[in-house]
Amino acid sequence: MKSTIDKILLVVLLIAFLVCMYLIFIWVPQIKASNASEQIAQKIFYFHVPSAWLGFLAFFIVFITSVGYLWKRDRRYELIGVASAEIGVLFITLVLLTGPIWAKPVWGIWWTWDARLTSSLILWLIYVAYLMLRRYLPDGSKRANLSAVVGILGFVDVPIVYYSIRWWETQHPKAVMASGEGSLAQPMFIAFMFSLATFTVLYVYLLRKRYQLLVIEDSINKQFKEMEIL
Amino acid sequence: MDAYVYLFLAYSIIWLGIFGFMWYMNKKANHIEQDMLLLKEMIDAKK
Repeated sequence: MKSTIDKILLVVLLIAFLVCMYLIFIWVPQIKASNASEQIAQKIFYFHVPSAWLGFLAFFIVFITSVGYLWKRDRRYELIGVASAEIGVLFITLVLLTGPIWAKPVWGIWWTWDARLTSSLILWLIYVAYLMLRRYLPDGSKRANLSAVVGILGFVDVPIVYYSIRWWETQHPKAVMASGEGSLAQPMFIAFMFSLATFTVLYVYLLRKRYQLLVIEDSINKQFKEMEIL
Repeated sequence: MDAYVYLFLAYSIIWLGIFGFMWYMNKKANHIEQDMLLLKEMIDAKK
């Protein structure tokens, strides 16, 4: 069931991830930090932040497709939304796991209830609820409408997560993309942007594959229903 | 724990997540293939 585009994307991903690992672990010099643990743990940043970006992108697509579904009542929007929500939940889960792994050697604690961490956890819970809603409600327009509403309302938390480090005093590091003190050095910036681009391609690949499966699954379920009626 | 252990743990979790999702999709595809065969049998039986 592999199309040429999927094969190309898979090859691009394999090469890009190999380059990513080279850039992160060999090419980029270690940061100047007060202790060795912080220097080493900083390398987690190159996959932690792109995972968060991918989660936000996935939830943005859920938002767009939810609006699209309520407007056009097109089943395709609903299925793209579900596929994207699954990917979003996966990557926010990875963010919530890798964050504490970075925090322990740097802060000395696994978790703190600051605004960035708490709002990220809430974001994860919202979209887990979205997936649970889809799993436990029977297929139909009620399920599609409800999940679209959750998909739209849930997205409100994404800008809150993003701006939480500006709006409130948090233990979480400030935005490193900003200019001035604390901004990334050029090799780090290149490695980070490359990783970000790779994760974006990964999202496109996973979304395509998951959507294709959902479309086939949907069509089979429809045919089973027709057979039962006959 | 050594900082390298944390680094290894973080990257392992991310790779596990990515490959785990691909495995989940593969399992779904196999399930769909079985459903397609069953559907084909049902259609043939109706004829």
